[in-house]
Amino acid sequence: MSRRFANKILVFGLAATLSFGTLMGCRTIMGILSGELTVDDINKDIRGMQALAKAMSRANQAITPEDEYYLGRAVAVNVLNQHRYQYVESGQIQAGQLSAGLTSYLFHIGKILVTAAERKPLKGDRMTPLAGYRFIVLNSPEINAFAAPGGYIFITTGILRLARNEDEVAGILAHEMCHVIRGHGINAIKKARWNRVKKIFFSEAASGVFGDDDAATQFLNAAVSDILKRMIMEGYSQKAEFDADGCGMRLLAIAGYNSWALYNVIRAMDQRGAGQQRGFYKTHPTPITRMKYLYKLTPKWKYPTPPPARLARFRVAMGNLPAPGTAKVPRNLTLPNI
Amino acid sequence: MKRTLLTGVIVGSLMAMGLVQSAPAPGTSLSVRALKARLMASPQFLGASVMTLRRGARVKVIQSKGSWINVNYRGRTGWLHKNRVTQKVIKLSSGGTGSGTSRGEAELAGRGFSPKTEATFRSKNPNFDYSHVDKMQSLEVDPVSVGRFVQTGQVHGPKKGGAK
Repeated sequence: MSRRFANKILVFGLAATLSFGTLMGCRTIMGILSGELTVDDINKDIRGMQALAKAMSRANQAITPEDEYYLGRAVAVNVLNQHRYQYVESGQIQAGQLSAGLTSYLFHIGKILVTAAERKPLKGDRMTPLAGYRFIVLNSPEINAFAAPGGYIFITTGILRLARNEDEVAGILAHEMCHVIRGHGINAIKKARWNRVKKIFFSEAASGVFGDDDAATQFLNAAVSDILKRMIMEGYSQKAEFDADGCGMRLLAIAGYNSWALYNVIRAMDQRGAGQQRGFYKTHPTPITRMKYLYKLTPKWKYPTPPPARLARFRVAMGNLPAPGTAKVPRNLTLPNI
Repeated sequence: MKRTLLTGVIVGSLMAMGLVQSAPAPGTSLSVRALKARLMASPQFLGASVMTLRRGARVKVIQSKGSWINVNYRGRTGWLHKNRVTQKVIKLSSGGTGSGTSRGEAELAGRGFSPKTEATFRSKNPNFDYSHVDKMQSLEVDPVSVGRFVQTGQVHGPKKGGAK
């Protein structure tokens, strides 16, 4: 047998075992968390995770955190432009400050969540973006939120009003952060483009190809369009949304927030917007389906009532929301020029 | 062939279980990969920091502890999480990403997208105001403040000591 063939076998053995190990790891963690998994559930979980792991390995190979940085900035500027740069505490932020207020409050919660993600990462998680996570409250009554690659998280005043306490705010942020952690945005880039990307990123003459800056910019444009279409208009796949829900619930539990908070905020979404076809309702599986999924996964722990200090600071922070009715409705999506 | 396959399976199993970890040896030089990284006084995410290091800064390994690396930067010592560093030397390019963000922070040289890619993208989309993204990026919270936030809000999970 030739050495080349033996090497192929070695790679295959490694890949197969790694995939199996990864899936077992996820299953075990989820199993421990829920304590209520049946064999059928586990099998379904594994099939779903296999497809997802395959998609994620594509993203993890081709797009480095450095590339994600530029990609994220381009997606973020599109989201802000679409919302006419109308966001809460924009004056303060434009002055480069993050003094006590709503945005600072979200940054604090976000830091607790990212710490949880880094303390106990899952296989297939992308590393924390090079510039960390950033949180902005868009001035829009629509119930919606967006996560751009590179860690730019946008949540609307509309969705924030659904939260009844800090844990539920954390639930909204955790779901969005998980889209970044699990690489869902990057995986929204059309499959056909990957072949070209692979050629560019793995080519020996890569520096030469990227010396031609037009090729890189063209790919950046196309990738941004793909991500925006998925993120804002069509929504990610149902699998990706369930993955973000499971991952978000897990972050809440590790961080020390109530792991039922995401379930509760989705229930509020269901009660508020039954029959709606905009924002989250258009781009996500139905709230009821998501609740059923989360109910199975969420550990049945009993949480004490949050201390008065946590509730008080939630009320103070939410006091910075603009009065209802003053928020701007976003324009239709405009895609970048190619 | 059987032996090769077996080796693959064993090494793969160990990697899948997270048992094969490459802790950098003492004396190794590492580069800061994150745009900014706090050099922490102890191996934890929240709490006091010694200083802030910028992307490309070269640090020397003293010892490793789990996911944390004890390093020396120009005579000052502290802890960096393994995700913030790389063994590669990071060369900062001469390009920049424009207003708001300092050059050293934003320059991400190497294969893939570059400051030049973003500059071309911006010239083709003049209606995009990147100053908002730059400002967003410059915001950060002090890990000491977040530590206090955890304590006062008692974000510790259902049991004393946190959710396990």
